[in-house]
Amino acid sequence: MSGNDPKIIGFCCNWCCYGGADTAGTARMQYPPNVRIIRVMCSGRINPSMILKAFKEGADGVFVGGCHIGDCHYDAGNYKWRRRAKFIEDLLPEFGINDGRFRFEWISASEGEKFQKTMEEFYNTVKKYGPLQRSFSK
Amino acid sequence: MEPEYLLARAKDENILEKGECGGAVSSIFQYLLDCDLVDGVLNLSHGEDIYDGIPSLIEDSKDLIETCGSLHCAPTMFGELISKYLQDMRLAVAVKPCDAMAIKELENRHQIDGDKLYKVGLNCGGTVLPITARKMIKLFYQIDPADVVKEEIDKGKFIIELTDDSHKELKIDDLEDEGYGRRVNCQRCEQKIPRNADIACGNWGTEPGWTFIEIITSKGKELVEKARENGYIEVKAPSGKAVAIRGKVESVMIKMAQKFQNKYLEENYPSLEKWDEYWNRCIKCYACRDACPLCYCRECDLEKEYYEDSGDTPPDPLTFQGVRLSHVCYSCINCGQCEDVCPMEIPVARIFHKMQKKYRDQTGFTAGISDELPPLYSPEKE
Amino acid sequence: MMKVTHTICPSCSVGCGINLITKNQEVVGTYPYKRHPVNEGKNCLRGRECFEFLGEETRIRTPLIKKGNLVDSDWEEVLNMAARKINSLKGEDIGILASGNCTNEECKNLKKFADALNVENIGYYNHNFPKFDFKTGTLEDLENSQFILVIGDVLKDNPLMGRRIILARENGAIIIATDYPEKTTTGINANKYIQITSIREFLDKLDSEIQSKLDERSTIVVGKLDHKKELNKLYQIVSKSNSKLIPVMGDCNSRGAMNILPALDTDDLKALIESVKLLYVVGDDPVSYTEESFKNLDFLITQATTINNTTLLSDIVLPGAFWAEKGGSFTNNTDNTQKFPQIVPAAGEALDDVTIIQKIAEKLNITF
Repeated sequence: MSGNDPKIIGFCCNWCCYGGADTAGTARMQYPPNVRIIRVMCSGRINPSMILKAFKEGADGVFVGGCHIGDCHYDAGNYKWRRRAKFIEDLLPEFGINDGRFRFEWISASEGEKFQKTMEEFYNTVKKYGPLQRSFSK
Repeated sequence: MEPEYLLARAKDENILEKGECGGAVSSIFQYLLDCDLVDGVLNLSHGEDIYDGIPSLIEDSKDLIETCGSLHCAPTMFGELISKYLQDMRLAVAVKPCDAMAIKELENRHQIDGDKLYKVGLNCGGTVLPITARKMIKLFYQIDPADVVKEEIDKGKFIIELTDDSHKELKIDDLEDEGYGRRVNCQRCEQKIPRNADIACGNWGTEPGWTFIEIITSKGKELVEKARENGYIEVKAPSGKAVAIRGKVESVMIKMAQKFQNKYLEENYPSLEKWDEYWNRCIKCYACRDACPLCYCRECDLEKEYYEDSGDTPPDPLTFQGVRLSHVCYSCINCGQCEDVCPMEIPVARIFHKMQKKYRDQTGFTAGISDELPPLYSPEKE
Repeated sequence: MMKVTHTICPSCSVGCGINLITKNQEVVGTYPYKRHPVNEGKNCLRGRECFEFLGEETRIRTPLIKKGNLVDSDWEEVLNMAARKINSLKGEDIGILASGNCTNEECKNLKKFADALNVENIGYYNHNFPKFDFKTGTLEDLENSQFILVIGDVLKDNPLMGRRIILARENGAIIIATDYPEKTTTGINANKYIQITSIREFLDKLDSEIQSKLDERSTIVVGKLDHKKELNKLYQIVSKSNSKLIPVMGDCNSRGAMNILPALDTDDLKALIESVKLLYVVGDDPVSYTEESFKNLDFLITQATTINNTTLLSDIVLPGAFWAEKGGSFTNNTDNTQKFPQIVPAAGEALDDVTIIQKIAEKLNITF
C-alpha cells in the first residue's frame, strides 16, 4: 500500500458483519485490503467517541457493520447504534470531516458478497476524497 | 394542569418594600422556611455591589431580606450546586429558566430528587455579565458603574437607577449591536418563562407593586394557596389585559431569540477555519466540562488514557471537544456556563447549541423541557 | 450549611478571583467569581483545584520536632526551642527566608521580626526576577495593545494573563511569541513564533521587526528570565519605545513580597543559606532548589503547610495555614493589592503564619 492509499477502520459486529467478512474471505472474494477490521460484540457497543478516536488516529474512513434490523443478537443493539450513527453524521462535519467518510451498513454472516461490494464502494468513496486533511495544528 | 394566573404581593411590610414587585417570591420562601417545609432556600444575595450576585443558602427566614430584589448581572447556575452539594436538604430554589432546565434534566437522570424541591421560577429576559455591564455603563451611559444603585430590564431597555434617584435607559438592541448587553446565550434563549418550575413569577403584564404568578404544577398551586392562607401573601386575579400583555411580551422575546439563533448559529456561525483557531487556544483546563450542569459523570472519558493526548496543549479537538459534544450536546440547555468560564474565550456554547438544535429538529427532544429521556438513551426499538 | 465566598486564587501571580464553596466549615469546591475584574469568572485548572491542597494527606497538623526522626510535639515545646536557639546566636548568624506565597502581612511581620533581631540575611526566592519598582502595564493595556511580545509560554502557564493576549489578537493585535521549545501553546496562537536558545542573546540582538513594532501601544509580557539582569534590559527596551512591560512571576505574592523583602535569585539564595547558622524558612521549600547549601547549617526551622524536602530536613516544623485558613492580602503582577478573608479554620493545631511569627517574637521578648 502506498502512503496515499486510504486507511479505513471497519468495526464489525461479531455475529453478523464479521461473519460476512469471513464469508467473503473463505469464498476468496477480493476486497480492498485497506480496511482494518476491528471485531466488536455488537454495533450497539460502538459509541461516537470511538469513531472520533479512529479519525483522530489517522483513519481516512470509518465503517461500522451490524446485523440487519430485527436480527440483533442482543435484540436491540443495532437500533441503538442506528440512533448514534445518525448523530455521528451530524457531528463529523462540525470538525470538517465529510460525513461520506463515515458509513454504516447492515450485513449478515451469509452476505459475503454484500460485504465485498460495500467495502469496494466505500474504498472508492474514501479514495475519491483523498487523505483526510485536518487543519488542526498538531 | 391548566395554567392559572394571579397577582400576588407580600404582607410583610419590610419585604413589600425591599422585594421586587411586591416581594411575593421572598414571602413564599418565608412561608416555606417558617412552616418548616424546607430546610433551606437557595437564592442570590448581593455581594460587593449590584453586579455581584452570590449563591446563598438561607436557613433562617430573617435572612431572606438579603436576597430581596432582582439581579440581572448575575449569570449563575444552581443545577450543579444542588446535585453536588445540597442533595441532603429539602430545598426551595429561585430559578431562572436555565436553572429550571438544568434541574429538571438532572431530576430526569436521577441526579436530583425532585420531591425535595420547590422550584420558584423567575421570568428572565436574559442576564448581563457583570464586567460587561460595568463597561457598558461607563461607555454608553457615561456613568460611573459604582453610582448605579439598581438595574432593570424592561420593554427592551436596560435601565439604571442612580444614587440621586434619576434613571437612565438605553435600548438593549443598540447595546447588543455593539457587542455589549445580554450574554449571547441569553440572546438566543427561547425559555423566557420557566414553565418547568412549580410556579413562574415576574413583572410582565403586572401592575406596580405586584408579582404576576403563573401556576404550573399542583405542587405550585398548593404552595401559593397555603402561603396566602398562612398570611404571607395576598393575591388577586389579574385583568385579562395583564394576561394578554404578558403573553405578548413573551412571544416578542421568543421571536427575538429565534432571530438571534439565526444570527449566531447560522449567519455569523464561525467557519471551520475559525473553529480551528479557537480549538488551538484550548489549554485543556476542563472548565467547560466542570461548569456544565449536565456533565455529571464521576469518571470522565476525557481523562481516560485512550482519549487523552499527552499533557500537551492544545488537545485534539476530535477527542476533546468532539467526545464531550458526543456525550452532552443533545443535553445542552444553552445556559452558556461553559462559554462564561472558558479562560481562552472559545465560544463553546455555540457549537453545543447548534448541535442541540439539530438534534431537537430531528427528534423533538429538548433537554430540561421534555419529560422523557433523550432518544439516544432509549432501550426501545424504533 | 453551604456557603459561597469570594477569595483570591493563590495558584499564580495573576491574582484571579475565585469563589470557594464550603460545607460545614470545609472547602468542597470552587464556583466562578464573575464579578472579578481580573478574570471575570474564568479560572484555569490549577486555579479551580487550588482548594484541594487543604485536604492533602501530607498536611502538617501539629508542630514537629526532630528527635532522630521528626515527631509530633506541641506549640510550647517548639516555640521554646526556637527561641532558645535564636537567642543563642547573633543576628548575623541568623537567616530568614520568606516566600512569594507569603501574604503581605506575613512579609511585613517577618521584616519587623528581622529588624528587631538585627538580621540582615532576609529575603525570598523569586527565581530569576529581581526587585523592581517601575510602573508595569495593566491588564487593560495588554488587552488594548496593538503589538505584544511574549517571552515564555504565558498562555499555558498563566492562562488568565494569556486570555488578554487572545482578546488583543481578536481585536487585531500582532502577537510575537518566543521561547525555548520547538512549539508552545502561546506560539501556536501567535502571529509568529521565534524559537530561541538564550533570552539574553534574543534581547541583545532584538529582531528588527520587533523593534519597529514596539511603540506606546505595545506590551511586552515576560514570563521567564534566565538571569535577573535581563529584566533591566527589557526595561530599557520598553522605556526607549514607550511601550509597557508586564513581568509575570511565579507566586501569588511575588510582587507584594518584593515591596517588603529582598528578592533573591539562586545565587543569592545559596549565599544567604551558606552564610548563616540558623535558618528560619516560612512557606518555601529551598531544599528543593539547593540542597547542598544546607550542609553546614546548624539549625533549621521551617514553617510550612505540607511535608516537603525542607521540612524533612528541619529541626523544628511549625504548622502554618493555607490562604483560605488565614486571610490577608496578595499583590498581583500588575501591582493590584487584593484582600481575602479567612474562610475555614486551620487544620489541626496549625496557626495562621502571622500569629506564629508573633508567638516566637513573644518568646524572645521582642515587640513590634
